[in-house]
Amino acid sequence: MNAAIPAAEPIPLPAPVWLMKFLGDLTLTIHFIFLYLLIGGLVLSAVWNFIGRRFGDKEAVGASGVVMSRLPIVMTYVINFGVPPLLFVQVLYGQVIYTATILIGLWWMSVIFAIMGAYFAIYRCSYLASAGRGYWGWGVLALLFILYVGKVYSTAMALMLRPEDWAGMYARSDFGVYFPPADATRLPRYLYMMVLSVGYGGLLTSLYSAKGSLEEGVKRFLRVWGGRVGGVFLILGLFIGLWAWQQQPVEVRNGVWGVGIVPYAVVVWALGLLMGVVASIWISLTPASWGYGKAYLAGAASVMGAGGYVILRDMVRDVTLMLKGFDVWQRVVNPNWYVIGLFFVSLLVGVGLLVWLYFILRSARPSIEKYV
Amino acid sequence: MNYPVWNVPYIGSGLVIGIVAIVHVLVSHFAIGGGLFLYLTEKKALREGREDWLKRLPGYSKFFLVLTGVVGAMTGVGIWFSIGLANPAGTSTLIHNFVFGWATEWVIFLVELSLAAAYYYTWGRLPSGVHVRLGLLYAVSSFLTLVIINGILTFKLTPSSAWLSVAGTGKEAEHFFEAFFNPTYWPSLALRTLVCISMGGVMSLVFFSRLDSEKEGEVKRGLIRWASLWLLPAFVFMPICFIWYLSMVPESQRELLSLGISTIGVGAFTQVTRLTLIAILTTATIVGVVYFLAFLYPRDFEFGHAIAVLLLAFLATAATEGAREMLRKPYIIFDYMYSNGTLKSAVGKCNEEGYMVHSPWKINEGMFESGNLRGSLVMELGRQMFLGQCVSCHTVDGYRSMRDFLYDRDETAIGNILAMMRKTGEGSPYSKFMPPLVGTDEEIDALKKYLVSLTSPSKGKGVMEVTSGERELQGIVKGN
Ligand code: HEC
Ligand code: HEM
Repeated sequence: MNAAIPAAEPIPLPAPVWLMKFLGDLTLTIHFIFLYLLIGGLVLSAVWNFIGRRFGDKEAVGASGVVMSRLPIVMTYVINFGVPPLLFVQVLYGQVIYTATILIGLWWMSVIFAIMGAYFAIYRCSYLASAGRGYWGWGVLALLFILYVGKVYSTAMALMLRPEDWAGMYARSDFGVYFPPADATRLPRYLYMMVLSVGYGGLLTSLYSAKGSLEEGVKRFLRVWGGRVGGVFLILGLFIGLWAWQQQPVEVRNGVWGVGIVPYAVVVWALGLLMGVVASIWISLTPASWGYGKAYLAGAASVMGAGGYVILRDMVRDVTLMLKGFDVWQRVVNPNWYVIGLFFVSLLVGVGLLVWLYFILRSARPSIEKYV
Repeated sequence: MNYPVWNVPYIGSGLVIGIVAIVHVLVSHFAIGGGLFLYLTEKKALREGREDWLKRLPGYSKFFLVLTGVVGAMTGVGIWFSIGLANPAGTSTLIHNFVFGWATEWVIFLVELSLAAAYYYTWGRLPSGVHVRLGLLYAVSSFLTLVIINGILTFKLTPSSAWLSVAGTGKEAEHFFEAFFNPTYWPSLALRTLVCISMGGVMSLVFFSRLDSEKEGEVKRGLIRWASLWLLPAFVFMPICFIWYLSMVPESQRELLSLGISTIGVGAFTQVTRLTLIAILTTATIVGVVYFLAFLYPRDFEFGHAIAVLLLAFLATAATEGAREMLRKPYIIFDYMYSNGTLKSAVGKCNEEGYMVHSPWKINEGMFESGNLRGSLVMELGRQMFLGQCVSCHTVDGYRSMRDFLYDRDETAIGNILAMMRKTGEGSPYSKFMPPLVGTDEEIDALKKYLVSLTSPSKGKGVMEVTSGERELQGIVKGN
């Protein structure tokens, strides 16, 4: 055990490590997919609204409105699906996550207010959109808040892995007013998330065009530009991903390659990106037609890209911490299976209700979307 | 000291939690009561054919969605963030015990917020029967969120004897349900349900008070009257539930309520009582104002009146939450963990081996040699003792200021206080609201030197009596 890392919680883990990792990684994958929709959607709809209003391009304004009016819901799910990963990270890696967040405490706490600010700005935008007014300024504001939140998250998750930096940081400030000292892994890790979000976000945004009642011009715009932006940023994301990998210390890289699941995760991740690029090109080149094939391809690509990455970063974390003397698999476990069973029952009922709700919503009269 | 301490200047980390929590409690109880209000109001309006009511409800549900979705949800996450910063050890214990409770809570949230959005976005787009059913499901799911979180909240004050009997043995999970359905679970659930219903009424008063008394007089009259009725259940049942709740609180903590038991004039005793009195008085005022202004003269009920009611509700919430916190002093988890994260069972060990010896945050000579720290080892040790054991409730210069408490005391007097604080139970009047001070003689002496330096900076040169950020400015700590 590394003397810089606090002692483990005396109460044993309430469930096996693999189960909590599975649940955490699953929900984090969904968190990331909504994040793609959020960040990509904000970038595109702000830009489209600006260009559309500036140059009188009704289709750009319409497409922007379609994207923006969905962002409040997207935001809701970004936040909601962030909750279980944090729960499980706190249980499994409590010693390092509490410490890391305390050492940047002021910034970590400020995230709450930044998210609220972004949320309000997004609601404001969607209101202005439905009133046919301009909102790109509010959109940019929301985007800045979101970029900031992402930065703090990346910083915290990276600092978790650097016990060697902690004592110095604590001596400098016990209120957590400083960002951590230089760490080569941090910038590419952050950039990867943001750039890839625009990539997948663009691609997924084009799927909004599946709604039959939208104007043809707007549908076309969503497909052409969603696909183009998606394709370009996905390719960019691929390179940043490789850069992020290169920045990991060589022992970590070697260690990660030794983990059984990693080759599969790499294949899934890379395929996800490639399929995303293919889907982007396909959608943007044939905007006049629409079929489920495109939607399924884009959807599968995002799930694979997000899921593969989630597993890889989890393995980077485990190997890094293991090299520094913290092995999450060594924790004592004493589960209460009734409680875990009850959770799964509630999950089943919850998902059932959501499916039911989905069919109710499909049966509703379609809303009329008008943003110009 | 296992975790670093988040030392918030002036207000202290506890107050950060408090501020976020008060807003959250108001909005989250509204999320439950307001959901029920929407459901029953839509149903009533449909049954009685009140078209004019139905026209106002979509706007209300938008207000509801944005307020609960943005402020309610994010202050909820905010409490979680702040307790993790201010009390990582306590948070870790709670999460290890209840992670699947919380995970279940999350599933319900997921359903709840999906329903809230669906409800708002489908006004006029679904058959009214189906829409009402969405409202009902929302009301039920939001109530279930209370059913779950209430178990975790009440656990802290009354962790149940079954759980306490195995605490620290690794068998805690076997007593999950006793810990969850603990002695204060049911009375607290009843109290909170009453608060939810009241908040449904209060926020509805706020929203509908903005209707125009002239042009929309009839609707306003109906809706304001209807909303004011929502305070009735609290008026009738609150006192009984409150007594029921108190009867379940451990004897030792209930004592905090009874005035004048202790010989020290200041202290927690009067604080709990004072806060409780404030809560009772404000609640009574709310009921009075709502009856005399809203119920009797609904058309003249203005937005300003409604805001006054809301402010009173804010005050009542602040007082109740404050009292609830004080009632648990000096514990964060009653009889198990003190507010500063020290385990009750670890007191002996800390006294023997030392508080800082096993800590990753221990200051060593090397840090001075490397130039990372200046000042003296003893002062830094004292400061760490202060951070680890006192800062969860005190600040240097702001809330419960240590400097103010100590300003007229000299070294001997401070030494006496510390000696007293080391005793547990009846041996020390402080033990009712402060955790026992732990550590070796050397550590306590370092704390004393540090505290003395607070009373007069000249007594301890180069001392870290200032908080964090300022330390660098004063050249005490070298920046990297
Ligand atoms: C659980 C919270 C808590 C912790 C931890 C705590 N205190 Fe206190 N302390 C209180 C409260 C509450 C009061 C009474 C405040 C009041 O009267 O307004 C108090 C009062 C005091 C007083 C004034 C007592 C008097 O008789 O005038 C001193 C001195 C003091 N604390 C020192 C300390 C020191 C030193 C530590 C750390 C070793 C510490 N406290 C830790 C809660 C705490
Ligand atoms: C709009 C707000 C949000 C944004 C922009 C955001 C962004 C991000 C980003 C960029 C990451 C990846 C960090 C990295 O590894 O480099 C991340 C991970 C994470 N997010 Fe979010 N997030 C948001 C809201 C939330 C909320 C509200 C929670 C929790 C309540 C949350 C919980 C998490 C957790 C726990 C992880 C890491 C999980 C792990 O490492 O296993 N997020 N988020």
